[in-house]
Amino acid sequence: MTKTTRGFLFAATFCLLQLGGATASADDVTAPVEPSLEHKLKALSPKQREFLEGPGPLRLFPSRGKLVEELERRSPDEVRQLVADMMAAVAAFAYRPGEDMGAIPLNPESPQFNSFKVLKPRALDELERAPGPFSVKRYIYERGGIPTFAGAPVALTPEDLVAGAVDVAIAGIPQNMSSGKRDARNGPNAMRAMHGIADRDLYSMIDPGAVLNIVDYGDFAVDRMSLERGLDHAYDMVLDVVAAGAVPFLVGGDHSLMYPSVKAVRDVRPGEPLGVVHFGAHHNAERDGSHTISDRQAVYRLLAEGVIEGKHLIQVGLRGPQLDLETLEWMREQGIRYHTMAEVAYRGWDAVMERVLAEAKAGPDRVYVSFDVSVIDPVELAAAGRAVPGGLMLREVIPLVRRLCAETRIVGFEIMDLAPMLDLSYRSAMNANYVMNACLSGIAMRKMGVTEENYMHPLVLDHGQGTPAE
Amino acid sequence: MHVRASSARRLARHAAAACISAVAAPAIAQVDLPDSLRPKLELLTPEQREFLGSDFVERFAPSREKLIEALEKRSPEEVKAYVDAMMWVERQQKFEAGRDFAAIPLNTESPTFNAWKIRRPRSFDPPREPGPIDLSRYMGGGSGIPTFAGAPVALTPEDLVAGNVEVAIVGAPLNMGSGWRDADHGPLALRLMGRYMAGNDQYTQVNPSEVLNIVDYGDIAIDNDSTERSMQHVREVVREIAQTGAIPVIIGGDHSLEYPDVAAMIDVYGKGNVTIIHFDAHYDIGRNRPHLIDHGQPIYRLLSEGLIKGGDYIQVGLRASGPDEKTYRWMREEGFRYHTMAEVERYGWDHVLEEVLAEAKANGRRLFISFDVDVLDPSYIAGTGTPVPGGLTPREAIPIVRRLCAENDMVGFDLVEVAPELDPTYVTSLHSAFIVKACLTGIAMRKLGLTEPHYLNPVTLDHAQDGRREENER
Repeated sequence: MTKTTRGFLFAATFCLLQLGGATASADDVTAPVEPSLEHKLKALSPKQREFLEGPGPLRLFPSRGKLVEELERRSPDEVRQLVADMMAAVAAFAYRPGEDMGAIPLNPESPQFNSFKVLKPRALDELERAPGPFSVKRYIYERGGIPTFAGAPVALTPEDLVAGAVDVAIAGIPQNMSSGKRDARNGPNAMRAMHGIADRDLYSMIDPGAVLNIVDYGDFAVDRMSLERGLDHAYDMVLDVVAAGAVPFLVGGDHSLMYPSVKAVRDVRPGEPLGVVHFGAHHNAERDGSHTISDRQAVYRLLAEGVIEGKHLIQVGLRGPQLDLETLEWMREQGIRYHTMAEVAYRGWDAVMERVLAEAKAGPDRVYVSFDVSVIDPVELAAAGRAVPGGLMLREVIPLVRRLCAETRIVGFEIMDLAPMLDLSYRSAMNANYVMNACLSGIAMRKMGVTEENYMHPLVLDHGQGTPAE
Repeated sequence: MHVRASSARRLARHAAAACISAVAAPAIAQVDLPDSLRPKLELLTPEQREFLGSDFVERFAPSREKLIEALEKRSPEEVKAYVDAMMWVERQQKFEAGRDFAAIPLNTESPTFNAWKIRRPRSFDPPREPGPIDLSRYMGGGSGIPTFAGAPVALTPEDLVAGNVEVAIVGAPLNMGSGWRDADHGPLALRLMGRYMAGNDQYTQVNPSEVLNIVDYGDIAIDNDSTERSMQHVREVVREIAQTGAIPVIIGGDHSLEYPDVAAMIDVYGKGNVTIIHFDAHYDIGRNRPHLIDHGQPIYRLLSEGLIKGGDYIQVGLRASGPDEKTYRWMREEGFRYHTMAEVERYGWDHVLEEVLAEAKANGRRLFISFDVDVLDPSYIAGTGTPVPGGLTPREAIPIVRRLCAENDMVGFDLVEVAPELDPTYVTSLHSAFIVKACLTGIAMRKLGLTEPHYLNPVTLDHAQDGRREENER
């Protein structure tokens, strides 16, 4: 009832926070024009000449080679026109005060300005109930009924989490602003409606539902028209979960949510570094966008604000078109441990998996797993908002997720960008649930003290009848 | 260039002004509370008693009766806590400077701030004469490149003028709907289904592709992280089409587009000169929302900026859960002419159709049609973001669209809310294409002078083997 927004994530000062580092590879920034083209350039002014040899043209043409082709087939006068037009286009890219909308106006007169996120005061409840998770099932063994994550009881307030000594609170954040296909708002309910979470894990023979106190913490409200307006609230809600002693398991929603979620988990212990293992086809570290947040920028925001350090970020499964050399070089400079599918093709998955585990264990004690479903191959996860062919298979991803969650200290987990309408079958939702269950199994193993490397239960590994004599 | 800049400033002013010039919201009614409740209210301050009588409290219960029930079973202390809580909620919901931001900040330092909408200079491409670009390889037309109506491509206003273009079909892939999203793929789906927009129309034996100069005007750039930012550019491009004398046909995209589409019509033809027919399951006049535009409030935005009056609007097919009775009354006061599916159920479609046609023709004004595909029944249009059962059939919608476009001076048309991902079949895009075709046919009929009410070709109508020929050809 006295809750107020503690995070004010979108201060107008955002744009002052820019990270340094390579903006382009050295070869491409400036390049003198080849002498053979010199006769085409005689009509250019010194300023135009400087522009042509600078980085500007590469914002309009994909490569210097293609630019040279364009110059070659033009007369000197046409070249001058082309360069003048290029300069005008690049100049128009930038914000023009008085002409461009520098901020998106809202309607402060609206009596419903904040209605999407105002929490219901307890005094308005019709019936009293003692704090703690409550079951919405009728039977002792009920598989159907009211759909909840993991078939778990429901908790709605931090008091419920504390009273129930909750280990894991699974919450949906139905944000729907993916830069790919949009249906992630239905991700949480698709996963609630599907089995597979809190099922016994065959490999470890551990049932996370039996070991952990798991709840469905409901959904966190979002503003469907604006990321910026909702992320403050997501931040507050995640903060509540962590402060109540539970590990937040967040179900997106698009991947922009990684920014408030990771920030909230870090902010609970501001002095302590946080390690992040980010699975996804996309690096999400795009810089310089005209918006201050999107799925493509979440990682950049976290780095730019110093929420996490580059050396504490491990990325697995990168392969999407967002990757370019300039960004990879910048990511190296930031110290990011990236693992592309090219590396998997070259070294083999087992080697990459071991490397990721070694890096995670060498990093900060507290680890957050940010899982974008696009890391999985579209054949096993068609419903990814930003799907890319050639991804990891479940049999590759699941062991790594289980081991990360067993062998490091997980303080948060999120699964993002499941867009159910893209898959007419049950597969995407089921496989997403299995990924989450792998992490829950790992956490349960750890709680039981099973932290030996790559633990599997001996009974499932071998039928124990010996090998037939040769 | 100068014109564009100043209109941008005007738009920016509009955006800011929209917050202030709210159109007469219903007054807050004070309601008397039953005497039986009086003992429960003794701890309330006068301010709290007044609050309890306001409309606002109805948001806390399905009805005032239920709220009174909730209060009656509480002690005076509990009632006070209850009212405190309601008033706290009211304060939380309102904007508060310092706590909330009144505008969403953008990164004005971005070197690519406007990159999404910067147009390609002519000097980048080999010289070509202005005019529609023919993509066909064969005499029979076509080369496999999918375009709206299989039409040639035009990219600039000069192309439209040089080609004497009468209809420019343009995509606007805006994807910010409140239901399922995917409307950004509407233009693509309708290009892939493009040839069904053109060709001969059986009913009239008119072939719009032969009668009219039609082009595919490409897509309008959209910022899909902000509807508001996209609006100004859409208005600009729709206006530039209309200014050449061509009829813009905008393929959305979500229904927020109705705001810039109609605004562009007003820019060109002036206020009070255009009647708008809004086909939709939804009324789209949402008010008092924190965002100044979304696909549920384009008409309110037009109204609050003074671009239209309620009387400029005819709405057909309304049947979603909103508006409520109070809002319908307000719409009546504002002069909206609405035709709900309840009216269709009571009086029959033919009656409603004739009424709509009569209203559209009444003052001989220009006509703009905003066609949300969810006005059709979901069996024909599964692929739409906010479907509502019980809609029109194509055999109802196609004739009214054809007739509206033939019997009136059409100046623009938009077809919005196609979300192809929701329909793995071709059915949604096929029906959407046929709605566009119905209007193109109507526009072509008008050019040919076939504007008599409900013209159908007599030869198509009857095999004439039994003497009824005379009757039909008369």
